[in-house]
Amino acid sequence: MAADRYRLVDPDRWVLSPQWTDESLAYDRASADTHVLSPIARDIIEALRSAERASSAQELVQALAANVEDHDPAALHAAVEAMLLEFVRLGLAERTNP
Amino acid sequence: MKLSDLSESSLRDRLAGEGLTLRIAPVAARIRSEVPAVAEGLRLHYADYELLDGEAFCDFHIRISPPANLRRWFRRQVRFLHDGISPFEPMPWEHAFPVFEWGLNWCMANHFHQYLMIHAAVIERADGRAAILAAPPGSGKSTLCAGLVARGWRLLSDELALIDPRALTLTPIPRPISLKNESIEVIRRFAPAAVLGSVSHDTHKGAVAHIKPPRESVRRAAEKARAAWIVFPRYQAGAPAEPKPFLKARTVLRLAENAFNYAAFGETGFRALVGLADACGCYEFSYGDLGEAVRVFDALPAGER
Repeated sequence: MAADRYRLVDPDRWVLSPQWTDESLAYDRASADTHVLSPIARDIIEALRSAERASSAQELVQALAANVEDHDPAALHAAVEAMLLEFVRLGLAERTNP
Repeated sequence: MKLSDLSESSLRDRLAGEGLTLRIAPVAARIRSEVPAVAEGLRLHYADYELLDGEAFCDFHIRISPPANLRRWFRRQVRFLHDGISPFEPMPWEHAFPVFEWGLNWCMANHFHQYLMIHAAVIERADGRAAILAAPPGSGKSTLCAGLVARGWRLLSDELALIDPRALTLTPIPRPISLKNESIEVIRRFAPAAVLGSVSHDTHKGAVAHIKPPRESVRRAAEKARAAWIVFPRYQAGAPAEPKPFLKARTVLRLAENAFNYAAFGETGFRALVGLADACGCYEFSYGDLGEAVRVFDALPAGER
C-alpha cells in the first residue's frame, strides 16, 4: 500500500519568523493567530512548502535528517508522522491520494 | 513659547477659559479645567512643553471638570472628558492630576493607531541605544525607568512604546513618570534631585505621585530612537539584578500580550514585533535593588542578538 502523502492546505497562508534558537513563529494570515513552532514543525512546514508535490513522511524524514545531528531514524520518523497528523488535525495540512 | 513662560494666573485663566494647547511630543492636546490641581500639576510637570496657538489642530480635546450633580460641592469629584465624552466614572477631586494623566493615556491607547503601541517604558542610554521595558502594572517598570532616567538615560516614555510598524523606530512621548506606593519613597531616596509632585493618596492604584520629565528629554522629543534591548522587568525583594536571555519567539508573544493594538495591525504587527525581537537583545530581568539594576543596564552589551 502506498504511503500517505501530505501538502500544506495553503502555503501562502503562513508568514514565518526567522529560525531562532529553539523556537520560531508562524503568523496565520487566515485567522490572524500567531503560533509557536518547534524546530521540527518549522522544518516540516518549510519542506512541504518547497516540495514540488505532496510529500510522504519518509521523504520528509530524508529532507530533515540533514538538519538533525545524531538522529535516531525511527524516532525522527515517528516525530514527523506525529507532527503531520497534528497539522492535519489543525487544518494546516491535508492528505492527498497517493 | 513654553508653558513655563505663562504666569500662574494666565495658566489658570487659559485652562478655565478657551483652553491650553500643548505639544506633547507627537500629540497636540487642548486642555480645559477649572480644577486648581490640574493647573498646579501642569505647571510643575509640563513646564518645558511647547504651547501651541489656540487655533492649532489638536488630536485630543480634554476637559477635567466637576460632574453636573451634587458631587460638584459635596464629596467633590472630577470627571475626565474627551471630545465631551467621559470614558471613566468620576473620581475624587483630590486626584484631578492623576485623572488627567490616566485620561491622556486612555486617549493615546484608544486613538493613536498610526503606532503599534505597547504598554512599556522606553529609555535611551547615552550611546543612543534604547531599551523597551515591557511589563504589566505592579512589576517595577516605572521604578526602574525613573531610576535609569535619574542616572542620565533619556526618557522616551514611562507608559507607551510607540513603534513605527515599518521603520521599527520608537517615537518619544516623554511625560511624567507615574510612581505608586513604595516606589515613591524608593525614588525619593535614590534620586533626591528628581522633581516629584504631590502624592495623591487612596486612588484606585494606591498612593500615586509623578516625576517631572527631564528638560533634556522634552527638548529631544522629536528625536526617534532604535531599540537595542527588550526587557521584561520584575521587582522581587532580595533578588539579584540579573538579566536572563529570553527566547525571541516568547519575546514576540509577550510583547503582543502587552500591546494595545497588535491585532489591529495584523500581519504588519507580526512582522514589526518579529523585526524588533530579531534586532534586540531580549531578557527577563528580576531586581531587588535599584542601584544594582541601574548598573546592570549601564553595562548591557551593545549589539548582542
